[in-house]
Amino acid sequence: MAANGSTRRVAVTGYGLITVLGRDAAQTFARAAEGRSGIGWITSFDTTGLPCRIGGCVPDAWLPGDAGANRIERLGGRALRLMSVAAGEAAQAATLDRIADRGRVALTLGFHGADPSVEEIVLLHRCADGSGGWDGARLARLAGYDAQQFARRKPDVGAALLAKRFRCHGPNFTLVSACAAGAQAIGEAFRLIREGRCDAALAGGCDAMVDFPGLLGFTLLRALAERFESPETASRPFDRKRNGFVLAEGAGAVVLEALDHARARDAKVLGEVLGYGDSADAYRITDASPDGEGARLAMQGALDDAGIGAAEVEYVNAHATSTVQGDIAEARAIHRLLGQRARLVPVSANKSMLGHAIGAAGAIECVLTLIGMERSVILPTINLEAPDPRCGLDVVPNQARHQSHRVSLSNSFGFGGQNACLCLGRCDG
Amino acid sequence: MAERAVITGLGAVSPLGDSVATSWDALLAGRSALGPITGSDGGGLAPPRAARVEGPDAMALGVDARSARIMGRPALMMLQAGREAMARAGLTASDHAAECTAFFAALGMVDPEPDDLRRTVMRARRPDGIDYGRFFADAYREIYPLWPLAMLNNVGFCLAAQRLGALGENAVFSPGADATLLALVEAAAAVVEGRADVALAAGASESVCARSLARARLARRGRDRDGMVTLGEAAAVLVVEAESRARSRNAHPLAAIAGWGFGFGAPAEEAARDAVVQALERAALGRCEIGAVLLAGEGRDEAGDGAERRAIAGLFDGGTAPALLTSKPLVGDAGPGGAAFDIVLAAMLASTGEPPATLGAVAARHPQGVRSPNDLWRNGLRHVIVNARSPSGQMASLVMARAE
Repeated sequence: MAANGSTRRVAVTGYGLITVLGRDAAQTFARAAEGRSGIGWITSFDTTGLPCRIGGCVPDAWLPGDAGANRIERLGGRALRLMSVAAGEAAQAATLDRIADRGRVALTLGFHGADPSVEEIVLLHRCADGSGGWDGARLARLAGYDAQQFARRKPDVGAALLAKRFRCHGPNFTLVSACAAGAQAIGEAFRLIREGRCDAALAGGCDAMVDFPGLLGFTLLRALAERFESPETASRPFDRKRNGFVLAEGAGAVVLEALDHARARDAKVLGEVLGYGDSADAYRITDASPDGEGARLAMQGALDDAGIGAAEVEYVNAHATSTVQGDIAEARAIHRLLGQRARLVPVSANKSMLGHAIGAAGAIECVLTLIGMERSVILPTINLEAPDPRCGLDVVPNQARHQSHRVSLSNSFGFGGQNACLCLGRCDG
Repeated sequence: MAERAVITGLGAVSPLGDSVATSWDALLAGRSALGPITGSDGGGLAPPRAARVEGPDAMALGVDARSARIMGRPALMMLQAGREAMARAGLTASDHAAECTAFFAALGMVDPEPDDLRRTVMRARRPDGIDYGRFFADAYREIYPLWPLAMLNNVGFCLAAQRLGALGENAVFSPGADATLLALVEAAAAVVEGRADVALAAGASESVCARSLARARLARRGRDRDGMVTLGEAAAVLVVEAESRARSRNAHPLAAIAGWGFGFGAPAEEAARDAVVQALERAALGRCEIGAVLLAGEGRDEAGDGAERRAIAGLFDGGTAPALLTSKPLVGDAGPGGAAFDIVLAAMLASTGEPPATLGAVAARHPQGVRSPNDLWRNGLRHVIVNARSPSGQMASLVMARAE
C-alpha cells in the first residue's frame, strides 16, 4: 500500500527504447547484456578543436520514415523523432490504442526542447541593432530563417505532438529537470494513475544533444570525458580513471496503467512501479552534494512511497555518469540507504555502455531495469579496470550477471540538484 | 471528511507591483501595466506593447552576481515572490524541515542571452556573414562558460529552491500556463498525502525580450494578423499545506484547493470543457456555485480564447453563469507566471470578496449577459475557477474555494 493510503497499483504494460545500442528495447538490452559500448567518434558535425569529440549517436537508419511522424519530424526535431519510435514500440506492446476512453490516457514527457541551432546562434549577430539591443522584427522576417526552430525549442510542443499521434487526450505535460526529467516524467505519470487522475499514461524522456551547441555547452562546463584511450572506454563509472561523462542521445518510453485496468482488458503486465521519490540537493548547481543526502532522500522517498524497507532492495540501477564527484556522492547515498548491505546489493551503471542521454536517461534506465527483472539479468558496468575504493559497491564489473531480483531502484539525478528515484518491481502474475 | 489542501501564503511580483498587496491595490485602482516597450528591448516589433516587471534587485535578494546571471529574471522573480509567500504564511526556518518542504514550479522558455554569445559571434563575423570555420575552431571559447546553465530552465529553479530552503519533492513543468496549475495540483497532493509538510507552488514567466516577442508573434501567425503582442512578466508563489496542519500551527488559510481538471486535444472547446467539468466534479460542486471564472485568455482569438468562452457559455446557462474575469488586459500574457498570478488573484477574491472592477471587463462584453461582478460580490463569492492554457493545446482548470 502506498504512503498515501491508496491501494491502486500501477503496472507497466509496454515499453520501448531507441538508444545508441539498439533500435528497440530488445536489441538495446541484448547488446547491453553483452557489455557492448555504443560510444564512438562523432561524425555528424565537425568536432575539430573541441576537447571532447566522442558521443553516442543513434544511426539515422534507425529512424524510419514513418508517415505518422512527419509532423513530429517537421516541428519536433530529432529528439521527438527518437521519442516517437520509442513511444510507438511501447504503445504497440501495450495495445494502447485499444483503450476506449482516450481522455483517461495521459502523456508525460521529460524533454528540454531542441538546442538552439548554430545558425540560430550566429544569426543573432545579424539582428544586433548596434546599440546593445536586438532587432526582433528583423529576426522574425529574415529570409531563410527556420521559424519552426521556435516550435522545436518549446518542450510542450513535443508533448502535444506525441499526444496527437498516440491519441492521449488526458493530462499532458512536460518536465524539464535535466538528467532527472525522464524518470520524473514516469514518476509523475505513476502518481497520476495511482491518484485516479487517469487510467493509463504514455511516459518517458528523450534528448538529442549530440550536436554542436549541446556538446559545446557541456564542454564549457568541463563536464565531459576528455582523457580516454578509445571512445568505447571513455565512460567508466566507478572506475578510478573516470574523468567525465559522454554525451549521448536516445529515448525511452513506458506505458503505465492501473493494474486493475490492465487486467480488465487482458493487457500483459511487464512489471510494476512500486514507488517514486524525488528531492532537491539544494547544494551547488554544478556539483552533487558530497554526502549524497539529496540522492538518499530520493531513494528513501521511493521506498517509503512503495511501503517497503531498504532490506528488500535487490538491485540499484545507478545514475552514475562517470564524473569524479557524482559517482562518489551516489555511492555514499547508497551506503547510507542500505547500510551494511550496500556492498552486497548489485549496483550497475548503464551509462558505461550507453553514455548519458540527459533527459532520456532516466526513462531508458527504467526500461532496462524492468527487462532485467523480467529476465533475471543484471546489466554490467563496463570499463571497470580499477574500482574506485571510495565507492565500495558491487558494481557488477564488465559482465552481466544472471540473478533473480524482484525489487529495484532506478536513480536519476539532474544537473542543478534535482533527484528522482523509481522503485520498480517484477510482476509475477 | 477528506483532508483539504489550503493556501496559507501568497507572494507575487507583477508589472503592477512587487508584492501581492501592491499588485492588488493597483488592480483596485484600475491601473493597467501594459504599455509600449521603451529602449531597445522591443526589438523593433511593432507595436511593442508589453507589461514588464521592474527589477528584481538581485543584490537586495542576497543573490551574488554570478548566481543572478545564471538564474535570470524569471527565477529571481520567483525567489522574491517565494520569500513573500513564506513570510505571509508565517513560516520561518524553524517551522519546517527543508527535506519536508516540496517545491513544484512552472517556468517559461529560457532564451539564450545575447550578451553571453555576443563576443563569439562578433569574433567569427566577417563582412559577408559568419566564418563558420573560425566559429567552430575557437570563437566558441568566447561564449560565457555558464551559458549552458542559464539555458537549462530547471537550474534557475534549483538556485531558488536552495535559497527558499526547499529540499523535498520537486519538479519543474514547462512552458505553458497550464503547467502552473499542474504544479499547484502536485503541491496539493504532496501535502494531503503526507509526502511533504509544506509545499511551494510557483509559476514564472519568461522574460519579455526581442526573442520572446518574436516567438509569440510567430506562434500567433495567422490568428492575430495585426501583429499585436502583449506579453507580460510575472511570478507568483503559493504556500500550500494540509488544512489540519495549517490550523494546528494557527496559520490562516486564505483559500482552499477544491478541484482541478486537465484537457487536451482538438477541438479546443472540448478540451476546455473537459477541464472545467473535471474540476467541478472533483470539487463536487454544482455549476451554480461558481461565482467567477478567471479566463485563460483575453477573448481576442477565436481558435483559443474563443473556444474557451464557448465552452464556458455551454456549461453555464444564463441563470447560473459566473462572472467572466481576466487579468490579461492589465498584466499581459505572462504564461506560467500569469497563471500563478491569476491563482493569487483568485485566492484574494475568495478571501476578501473585494472586487477589482478592472478584472470584470469581460463580463460587460459577454453576449449572454452574465452576472456582473457587482452582483456577484453582493451575493457572496465562494468559488472561483482559474483556467490556464498552453499555446500547444493543453488546458487546465482549477476550482478555488473560500476557506471558511
